[in-house]
Parts: sequence; C-alpha cells; structure tokens
Amino acid sequence: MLVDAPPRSSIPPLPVKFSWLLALLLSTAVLSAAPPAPKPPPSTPVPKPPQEKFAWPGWTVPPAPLKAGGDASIATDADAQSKHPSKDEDGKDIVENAALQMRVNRRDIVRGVVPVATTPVVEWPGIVPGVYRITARVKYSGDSQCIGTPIVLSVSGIIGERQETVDEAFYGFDIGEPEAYAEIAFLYEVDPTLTKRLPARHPRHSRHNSDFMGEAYPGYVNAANAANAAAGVAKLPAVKPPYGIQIQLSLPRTVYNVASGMPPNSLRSVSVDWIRCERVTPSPGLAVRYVRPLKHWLRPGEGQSFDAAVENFSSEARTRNLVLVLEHGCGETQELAKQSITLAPGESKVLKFPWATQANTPQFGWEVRAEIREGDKVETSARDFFSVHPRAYVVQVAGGNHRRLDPFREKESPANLMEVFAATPGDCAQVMPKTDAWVCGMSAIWQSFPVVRATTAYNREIGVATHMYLFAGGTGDAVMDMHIRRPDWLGGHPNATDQFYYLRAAADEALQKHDFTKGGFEMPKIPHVEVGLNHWFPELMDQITRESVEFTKKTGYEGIRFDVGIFAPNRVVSILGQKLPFNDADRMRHAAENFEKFKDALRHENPNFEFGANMDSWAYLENVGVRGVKPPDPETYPEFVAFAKAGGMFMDEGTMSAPLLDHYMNRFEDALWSMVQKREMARRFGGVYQLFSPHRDGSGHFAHDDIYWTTMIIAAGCTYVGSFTAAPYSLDSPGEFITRFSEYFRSLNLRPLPNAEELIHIDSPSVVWFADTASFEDLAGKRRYVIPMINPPVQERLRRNKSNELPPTIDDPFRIEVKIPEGFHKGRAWMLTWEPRVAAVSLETTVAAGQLRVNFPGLKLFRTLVMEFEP
Amino acid sequence: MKRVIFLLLASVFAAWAQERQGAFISEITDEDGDQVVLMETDWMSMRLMPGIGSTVINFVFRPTQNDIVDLTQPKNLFGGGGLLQDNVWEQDWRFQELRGKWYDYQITKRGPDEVQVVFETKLDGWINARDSGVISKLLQDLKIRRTVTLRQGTPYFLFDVEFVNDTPFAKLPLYWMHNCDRIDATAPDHVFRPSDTGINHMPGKGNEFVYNFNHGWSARVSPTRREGIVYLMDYDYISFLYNNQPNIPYTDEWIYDNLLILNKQPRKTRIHVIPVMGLERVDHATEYFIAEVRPIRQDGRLRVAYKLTSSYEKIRKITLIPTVVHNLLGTPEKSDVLPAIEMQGLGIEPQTAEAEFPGDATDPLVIRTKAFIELPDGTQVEREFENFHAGDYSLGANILKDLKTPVKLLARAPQNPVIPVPSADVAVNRKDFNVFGLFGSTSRVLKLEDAIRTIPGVKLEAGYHPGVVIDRNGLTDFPYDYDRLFNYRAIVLNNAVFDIARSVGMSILINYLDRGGGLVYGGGPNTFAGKGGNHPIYQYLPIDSAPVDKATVQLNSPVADHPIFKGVNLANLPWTYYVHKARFRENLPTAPKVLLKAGDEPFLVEYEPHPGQRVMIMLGLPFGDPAENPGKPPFYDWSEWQKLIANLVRYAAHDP
Repeated sequence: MLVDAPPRSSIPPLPVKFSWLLALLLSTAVLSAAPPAPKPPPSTPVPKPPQEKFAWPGWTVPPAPLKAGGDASIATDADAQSKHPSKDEDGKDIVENAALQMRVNRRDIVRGVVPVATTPVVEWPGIVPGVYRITARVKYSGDSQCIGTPIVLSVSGIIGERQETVDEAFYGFDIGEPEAYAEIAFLYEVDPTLTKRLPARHPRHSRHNSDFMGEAYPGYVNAANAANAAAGVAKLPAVKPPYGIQIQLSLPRTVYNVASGMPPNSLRSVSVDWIRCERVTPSPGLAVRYVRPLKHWLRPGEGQSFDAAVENFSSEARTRNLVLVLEHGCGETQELAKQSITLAPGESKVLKFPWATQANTPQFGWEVRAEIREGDKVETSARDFFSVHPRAYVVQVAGGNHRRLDPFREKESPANLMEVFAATPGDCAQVMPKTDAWVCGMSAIWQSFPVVRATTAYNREIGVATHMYLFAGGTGDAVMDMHIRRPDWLGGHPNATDQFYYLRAAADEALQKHDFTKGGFEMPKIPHVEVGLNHWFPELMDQITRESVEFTKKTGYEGIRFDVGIFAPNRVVSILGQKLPFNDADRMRHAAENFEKFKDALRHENPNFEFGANMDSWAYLENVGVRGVKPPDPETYPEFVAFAKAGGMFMDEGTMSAPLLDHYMNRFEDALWSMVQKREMARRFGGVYQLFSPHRDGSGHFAHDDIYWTTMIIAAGCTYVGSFTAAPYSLDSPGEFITRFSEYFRSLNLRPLPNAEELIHIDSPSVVWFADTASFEDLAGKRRYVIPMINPPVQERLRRNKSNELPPTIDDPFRIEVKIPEGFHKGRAWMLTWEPRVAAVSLETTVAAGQLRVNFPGLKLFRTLVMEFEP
Repeated sequence: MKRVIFLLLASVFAAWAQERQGAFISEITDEDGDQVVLMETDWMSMRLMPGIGSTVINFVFRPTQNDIVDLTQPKNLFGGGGLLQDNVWEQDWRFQELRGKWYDYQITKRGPDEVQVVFETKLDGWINARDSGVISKLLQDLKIRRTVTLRQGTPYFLFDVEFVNDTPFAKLPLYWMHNCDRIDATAPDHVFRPSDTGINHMPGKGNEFVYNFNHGWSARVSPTRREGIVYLMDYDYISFLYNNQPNIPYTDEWIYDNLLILNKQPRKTRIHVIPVMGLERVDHATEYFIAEVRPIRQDGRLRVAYKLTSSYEKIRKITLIPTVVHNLLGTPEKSDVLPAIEMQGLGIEPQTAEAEFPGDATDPLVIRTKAFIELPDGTQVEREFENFHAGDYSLGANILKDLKTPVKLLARAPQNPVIPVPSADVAVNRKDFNVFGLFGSTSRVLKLEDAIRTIPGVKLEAGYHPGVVIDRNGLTDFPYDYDRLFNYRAIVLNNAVFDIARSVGMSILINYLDRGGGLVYGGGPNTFAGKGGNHPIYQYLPIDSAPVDKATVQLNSPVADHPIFKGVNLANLPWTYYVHKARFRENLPTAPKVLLKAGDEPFLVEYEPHPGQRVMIMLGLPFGDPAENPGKPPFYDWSEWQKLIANLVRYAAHDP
C-alpha cells in the first residue's frame, strides 16, 4: 500500500547514541519523489509510472491476517505517527494514532523466527532502480542493555529464478530505551537483475570443493544435478510472482545456548509504526561503490592491486577525480593514484590500480581508500583493509564477522590464512600420497592434488595463506603398515583392528577407481586410527622431511600446523620390548634438533615457509599464565624455544575449555592476564600465541562471551583460531580493526609495560581494564605506549551472563595521564577504535608535571590509547 | 546450630509438599524452550531432558536448596555435565552415539506416592566413534531402558537400567555410567571410592581409575558445604570406577562388565542415588547406612569416630563393633576389638558416636567395622567393612617402602556375575566345519582368514579387536551363546588375549574347551609378550609369557610326520624377523610338543591340557621389514604358509 509519507521534518531525531547511524544515513540525500503521472483518461488504463518513495503504516502490514486473541494486534498508540481509521464510542468514524503491535510469544521464539511485519511486494516496474533507504519506526518493550533478541529488518529481492535477502539486526542497545519509538534503517540498492552487488570472495578449503571441482577436474559434472536433469527435474524451483522487493521485520529464533553463549529472548513486545522505502543518492557527483584489494595479505616486495568501482547515480553526466589513498600507522597516507573520470548517467566503471610493494614497505595493517573528489572536497569514499607482513601467522585473521550492510558489496571475511585439516594420507607415517587422490589419515575425507592445488593457488591469488595440518604421529593404514615394518618407530600399538585396515583400504580402492569428471567422490564411513611416533630415528625424520618437502612443493602449501606435539621421541624401549640405543634424558634436545633440521629443509625450498603447532611436544605454555604457578625456565624446554625462534605459532587448544567453571581462564580477568603472559612468553623468542575457540566453536557468535573473547584476544596481542565476532557499537568489525592496526598489538617488539598501573592514571567514571594489556615498543628515537582499554564485563566468569547484559557505556570523555618515560619530554597520542568505525583519531595532548595528558573520548567496550614519546 | 538449619529447611520443604500433595511429575518446556520431565517429591526436585539422552539437567536436594548439576552446563554437549548419562566404553567419550540423542519416554507413575518415567533408546553399536564405519554385533540394536523412580517421603531415588536384546545374538556392552555434578562452586568437591588399599580419595593421593574397588559405591562430597551424593550400584558387574580430573574431580563414573544379555532375556541393574548431608567424607556405603569413619589421635589416645546417615533401607537399630588392626609394619599383626557403638534408627541427619582404643597402636592402622543391623521387622543383618588409616605413617598411603606393595590389602570379595551353564547334552558340532576367529590386530599380515577359508566346506565367522583390553574400542563379535559357540568346531584367537571376551566370556569358553572344542591360539605382542591373565582359562595355555626378541631366524626342525605338515613342502623354510622367547610353564598336565621352531625358539606347539582337547599355539610375529632382509622371505609370504595354517586349524578341530 502506497500512502502519503509524512514530511521529512516530522521524523524525530535519533538518540545521541544512535548518531553514527544518523550520520551514515544523512550522508545521502533523499531524492524527491517522481512527479505524479498525468491522470489517465477513465477508459484507458495506463500503468503507474515507477515510484521512488513508499511507505506503509505498520497496522497495514501484519505478516498474517490479524486474529482476535492472537499475538499481533492493532494498538492505539499516541506516540505512533500512523493514522488508523476507527470508530468512537458513538460509532462515528474517527482516525487515531495506532501501530502494529506484536506480543513476543516465548514459546514461539525459542522454536523459530517470529515475523512481525511484511510489506506487499513492490514489483520491479513500479520502482525506480537506485539506492534506497529502508526505514522502520519501531519501539520495543523488554531489556535494553543486553544482546538478547534483535529486531531484524530485511529486504528480499525476488526474480524468477531466485530470491536474495539482505538483513540487519538491531538490538536494544542500537535502538535506544524501551517504550520509545526510534528508526532503524539501512541502505539498499534496488537492482532488478540482482547482480550489481559485489559478491564476497571466500578463501578455499580443499575439503569444501564443490564450487571449484570444475576447475580442478575439467569436465566435472555435478552428478546430482546431472541426474536431476536426466530425470527431467527442473534445476531450481521457480519463485512465484510477483517479482520485486519486499520488506520484512522479524525476530530471529532466540534461545539460550550454553555451548555458544547465545542469549535468551529479551523482548516482550514490538510495535511497528511504519515502514518506508525512499530513494536516495549516495553522492552529488559520482559514487564510489567499493574499493577492494586483490590480496588480504601480502609479503613486502609482492604485488598488490585494488579494484575501485564508481557509478554515476545522478541524471546528468559527471566528471570527478578518483583518488586512491593508502594509509598505515596512525594516519600516514600516500596517494597511489589520481585520475579524472567522467561517467554518463547510470554508468559505472571498475578501475584497477596496481601497487608494487618494496622490501621496505611498512609492515602490518593498511587501509586503501577510494575517494571521489570535487576539488579538495571528498564527496564519497569507500575503503578496505589488508596486511603486509613477511609472516602470515603474525597478522593472521581466521575470519571476522560484521553486523552492518554495505549496499554495494557483500562484506568479505578478512580471513588471510586457511588451514586444511587432515591434509595427508598418513600424517607423519606417510606425508606424501602415492596416488593423485588419497583418503586422509586424520579424517574420513578424501583430497587430491588437483583440488588442493586449486585451493592453494586461488588463496594465494587473493592473499590468503594456505597451511596444512600435520599430526606429529601417524594415521590411517599408513601407520598400521609402519607398525608392522618399523615397530620401533611407533610410540604405541595402534588402537585399531584389522577391520579398520580393511575398511580404509576399501575406501581408498574405491577412490582410486573414481572418475572425478562424473562428480565428487562420496566418502564411505571409515574408522579412525592414530598413533604417536617415536621420533628418535634419523631415517624416520628423513622420510618425514623428504616427503614434506615433496608434498608442499606439489600442493603449494605455505605452512604446516602440527598437532599433538612436534617431533618428540617418546620411548627408549620399543613397543615390542627391545631396549633402544637412546638416552631418555636426550629427548627434549633431540626433539629440538629434529625440528631445526626439518625447518631448515622446508625453508631451503621455501624461505617463507611457516610453522604452527598446538603447543610444543611438552606443552611448555601450559605452565605459563596460571595464577600462582611460576613457570619453569623456558630454556629447559629447547623444542619450545627452537619452535618460537622459527617464528612458530602456538595454538592453545586447551583454551577451548575456558567456559567451564574450573578452567583457569574461566574468570575474564584471569583469561586476559593469562593471554598476556603466554603471548609474552611466545613473543620473547619470536613466536606467536593463538587462542582456541570456546567449546571448539569458532563461529564468532554475536554473544557476550564471544565478544569479550574477541576483544581480549585483540587487546592482548594474540591471534585466534576462529572468526572474530562482530562488535556492538560498531559499523565495522574487530576483524577489520586488527587487520588495520595489528602493528599496535602484534608487533613482536611490543613488550609488557612494567608497572602500568603506576604509570597510567585513567580517570574514568567506572573501572576500566588496561594494566595487563599495556605494552611498549622502542622505535627509532621514539617510545610507543599501547594502552588497550576494556570496559569490563558485568559478570566475573564466562558463561555466567546468560542474559548477555553489557556493561554501562562510558559516553563522556575522561582524562588519562601517562607518566612520560625517562629521556623523553613530549609526545603525541591517538585513539584506535572500532566504535563506531575503525579509525585512528589524533588526540590533543598536554604535558604537565612529567605526565602526558589526553582527554579520551569515551569508551563503550574497547578502545586503545597509543602514545608516542619523543625526546 | 546445624540441627536448627536442618529443621528450618525441613519446614520449608514440608510446606511445599503440602502444596503439591505428594510426588509430582510433569512434562514441561523449560526456559530455554527444551522439553524436560520435571520430577519432584518432598525431598528432591529434578529435571530430565529426553533430547540429550534423558540426562538429569537439574537436581536439587531440597534440604540444601542447591542445584548440584547446573554449574556443569548439562546442555552443553562439548564438555557439559549432568547426571545419569549413558555411554559405552567401546566409544570415545567425545564421539559417543548416545551423546545428545533423543530418548523416547513414557511416564508410568504419576504420584502421589511415586512418580516414574521410563526412557528408551537403541544402540547403533558403533565401535570407536559414532559413524566410524565399524559396528559391533555385541552392541548393535541393544535397547537401553532407563527407569527413574522417585518416592514421596524417601530421600533418594532409583535409577534402573535394563538392557533388552531382541536380536538372535548375545550382547555384551561395557556400559558406562557417567555423572557430572558440582556441589560447591567455590571449592573443589571431593570424591571417595572404596578400594582394597583403602579409600581412593581425590583431590589427594587417589587415582582417577580405581580397578581394585572392593565395594559397589562411589561418593562425591563437598567438605565445605557438607553435602554429597552417593551412588550404590551392583558390585558384581563393575569393571572399574573412575573420576575425571584429579585436582577438581568433575565426574563420578563407572563402567559395567560381564553384563551378558541373551536373546529375550533382559538384564536390569539398579543404582540408588542418595543425597547426603552433614558428612565431610564417605568411608563406606551400604543399603542400610552411609558412614564416615575417622580415627582421631588426641592426647596420646586413639578414638574411632563414626558418623552415620541413612541409606535406602530403613533400619531400627545399628550396632557397630570396631576392631583396630595394628602393628601392620611389624609381626605379628595385632587386632583389638573396641566397645560396641549403638545407634537407634538412622535418618538424613547424621548420628555420631565414637569408641576409644585403650592401648597403643601406631599408624598405619586398619579399622575393621562389623555392623549388626536390626531391621524394622526385627530381623538382623550383618555387614563388615575395613578402612585403611595412614595417619602419621611416613609414606602417607597403603604402601611399603618399595612403593609397590601394599601395607595391607583390605578384603575384596570376588565378583559373582551370572554365567550361563550349558546343558549337559550340548556338544561341539563336528559335522560341519564352522570356525570362529577372534582376530587381534596384525592378524591380517599373517593372512589367517584367507588360510582358514581354504579348508573345504569351512564357514568362518570373525570378531575383530585390537587384542588387548582398551578403551574406545571393542570386540565386534563373540559367540557368548552356547548354541552358537558349540556350533564351531574350532576357535581361533590370534594376538588377542582371552580377557577381551571378559570374565563371563572366558568362563563360557572354558565350558567349550572342556567339551573338546578346538583352540588355535596365536602369539603376538598382545598375548605372550605380557604376563598371563588371571582367569582359569589361561591354564589351558602352556605358556605364561614369551617376551619378543628382534632376531632374523629361519624356521626349522619341523616334526614332519605330524598331520599339520601333511602336504606341506618343507624344503625351503621361511624366516621370521622377530621371535617369542617362549618358556613352558612348569608342572603342566602333559608336555607340550614343539612342532616347528624359529631359531631356537618354539614356533608351532601342540598342547593337550585334557585328554582329547587340542590347543595349538602359533608364535608367529609379523613384524619387521622384508626389504631389510633380502633373501630371507618372511613366513607369512611362504607359499606353504596358508596350507600349514589350514592344517593347524583342522588338527585343533579334530579333522582328522
């Protein structure tokens, strides 16, 4: 239903806390509606001209016909702006303010999505293509300062073959106080072809290969599709008309989940005053649709390039300057390119800008910005982030979630490293397959050289390192064969039966007979066999090393992540009872030497080859970061030191149990402290410390505990095996933040700042955590302090904040004073933040009584103060 | 003071009980939207969730008002807790098929005197892990029926597990009861398990695994809150007790053994779950009482203090007669009986009493307690238990200076599971040639199955196993039914100890051997490389242990006229790269005959433990690399090998 929209001035202002959204939305201008079409003569029906503005009173768009006693109703509401015809007590027609009100049924919302409002389909001929602001005026009753249940605003674009839906979730802390109307909105490009939005690229994993099987095996045919086609089954069920766009408000299924930490329902009711869809122009001149770096990560000296897409959304030809800006550090920028560009109305163009980095190109995070300028004025811009570093593990991001929509592109995961689990047929019992395709030892999956090469090559092209998993023992039939031939090489007898062997052999036989051009191989169920190896023997190490070199060369893997130790000997009496010619006291030294030789061989072939492990063979770091426990001297763990010195990444798999009550990192404060201790111990020797995901779930849920887990990992300068969660109060994401500012958290020269509590005085209205994570780095003639600040959780422990209550935000600026280190006399300061955008904001400083003082502009969850002192 | 608190709490739940009027059961949707069964009595309240294996996800003993499960996050299937979780030892805990499985259920009693719910599921029977690709016939399609019963007015509940086998094959699950609860969030709970070296207590000097248990109970107590929970289970069917995490014990678990479930003969085992209050530890538990026993030294005198609470059977009176057994490090051991202690009735509130030892007894000590229990009907029963008390003993535990030998082993009654007896007329079927092979790992290298299949008319059925008792794995088949067992003319075990058939299986097998069943027993690291087993069936073997030595030697000295060499070309005997250094046991009823040697060691042996009974021993080891031994082909690649093995099996089976 198309109704007259109220004048724009009647839209109430958004709350201050919502001002970032207001800023985004008002950065575009609402186009005036198309002029009304001339009245057609009564006898000749003329189609309505396409419109640019649509509005629906909430009470007109219930998701289903209203029923007396149902959860949805039309509620008289003095605060609503929509008018509803009614009758007064005397039966006279009247108009009253009313809204669609949905009572949230607790039983329904734990089971599935609760639709709140659904507009009619606006058919494609009825709407002018372009960028629209989709807005709903809503209010809720329920809990506000928690994650709880969001209100989801979504738009579906429907064409004959498919339907594409985009949505954004708005939480109580986004919307504002309960019982008060506020607008929720996002920008959406109406595109009848559903093709204009730039799709996200996804790093490949050789196991999830259906998208690129045709590339790996030319002539590949999806067997299921082919069978369907042969049987005359249509490719995809057609979507029924009408075709166009449809807007919906809904509440997602919300149920407490102790595994993920997702919260229970927090809403009692939702009222919808109105829904609108209004065309806007993103820019008075040309609009930058996006800029995208080809590579998420590259080494200094490698080539990068950027795609910038520009479009003229206006009705006249426009000429503007397109400028490509690169920025690193705190606002250090360089113009990569500047060119004049003229586009006809509706015309768009994608331009490519190469960038050859040098060996001395500054390392860590970069921002690339495409700006459309009229003179010096930036009219529109888009940006993205990437990393430059010789070592992928140092700047590693395994994934990063986000909450906000970009109308022109699907947001891409900032992942820059992909690890392929179960890469080999027998792990260290057989690294190199003897056939083109093989059954993996560590998992009931298959891999093949064509598929793995298609994975590594594609990932390398988009700047994603591909590392392989390698269990330090042996797996599958390979280790069962080794058990027979070389029993001394095994750390134990396989916990397996001959039937295991037969089933695995049968699976491999079937795989070898499989024709991949006729479809993927359906893996049968096969049992798992794994055994530790006894890494005393030079012949064994030679075999592993030789095969690893050969395998990584043939596949293109750029790193190995070990599992269950590295190359430790584990017994001096063989599994058959023979005394072996080794000394038990030499085990640790021997293990370190094994790794050194292995590393040298791999790096001889590929100097950039990287190593990770879920801890060294003796798990030295498990002695570190436990309150009240003094760790032993790291030098007594030579394999740990050797691995760290090789730049090794230590994956702390045990931290998956942090949500359990008795885990030493169950208290948030302990977890943060522990992360810093372990990170520091690894970093002391050049290594990288990586956290594991709570309960082995690295999805990065938008849940309280995952948010703090992400925040603490970033603040502590660690890396993470899973996806960083999205963050509240942020238009960008922590994944983008750490990509951009890794230098300030992950530089291997950053060291804990001793006595941080004495040196730094934070005059915030409530307690802020900063002392454990504060660090310093000496740069050329300067000393840098990095002071990450966390607004601490309201509950002490992980998984004890069922409602996902967030701490009160600190919205007012507060003073921070930092003692100027000896030998320095002045300084500069910046705030690094993702609240609301990823940015480095220069702060004004004053020096007084040996202190450098700033007025810090508030803290919702996490921000960082960077100070650089100069002589 | 404690009594006042107890009375106050008692009045709270008494008031509640009036409201509800008896035991209560209901199916509800909880705050997370999950379907649960709520069961309540005046003493306790619990919720069971059918969607996760009917695990108890909340348990409150009303006098304490403390939910002892909630802290363990029972709905979290990755490391979460809960009471009464079903598992089988044949599957890795992380990948159990019953974890998170929906159980069908029926409420069978709705109060007011008693509420009861029956849950049921059926095992797929995976070995190793869910969807591993390997199914065990000993687990497959076994129904597990769980009945939870709460009775109004009783401060405990009943948990019955019934195993139902509707298939023709006997089942033998290593059923694993897993309870995970946490009484006190601020301090570790303690766990207490009975063993023949004393109470196995953690945190402390105890071990997670308790194989030397000597009674059928396991207890968890929070010494800080003086609350606890005691599980009483059937001693005869326990394999071992287990508690995860020695410093902060997280679970109370035990694994059942010898639960043989024959077709249409369900077997039920009962667990009494008894919450306790006022105890700081548990030293013994029976159906009549739960006891804390504390020897106290004060002013040079020794007193033995008892604190007893009720168990699930009502009693009228209990008389304890303590005996102090001392001078354990010297000779002779001494024992002195202390004055009797009498307690009238027992309830949830502990009764305390003590007896004083007038003499001089240095630590360590054993306190032996005889309990004479008068039941409400006037009959009297007797129970006896022992507690080892290390006290000031310098080694602090029941161990001598060699750190191996116990100071004194406490009484440990033999377990007595039901073992079926074959009818007198059952005999080995020698009309057909049916063979059952139990193949331990590496048998494949010896090509035994292929060899047996060369016997004309043979029907071979096989069970696979690693060959030694090990978790996360299990036997895939074994003929526990006599009908099936006696249908085999011979049983072949290779690189597999008898113990993997469990005690019940070994006892069944003895009946088969005693009636002339043929046995071929192959060596390997699982068998003779270790020490022999304890079960009487090992007496049917002439060798206890035969360590493995690495030596490339040729087979030699065949007794060429023996039937096993019939048709076997002995011209070019093959080699082996490892040998068993076998020595025969002494005082054997008949002398074993070495039919073939490897170097100087026996390789094939014939043994007749009883007249007419043939046991053939094959000591072949498949290890070593032929590539390292050029010109010395291994015996299993020898062209005559399979013929020889076939002959060996035929001879064991009296063919001819």
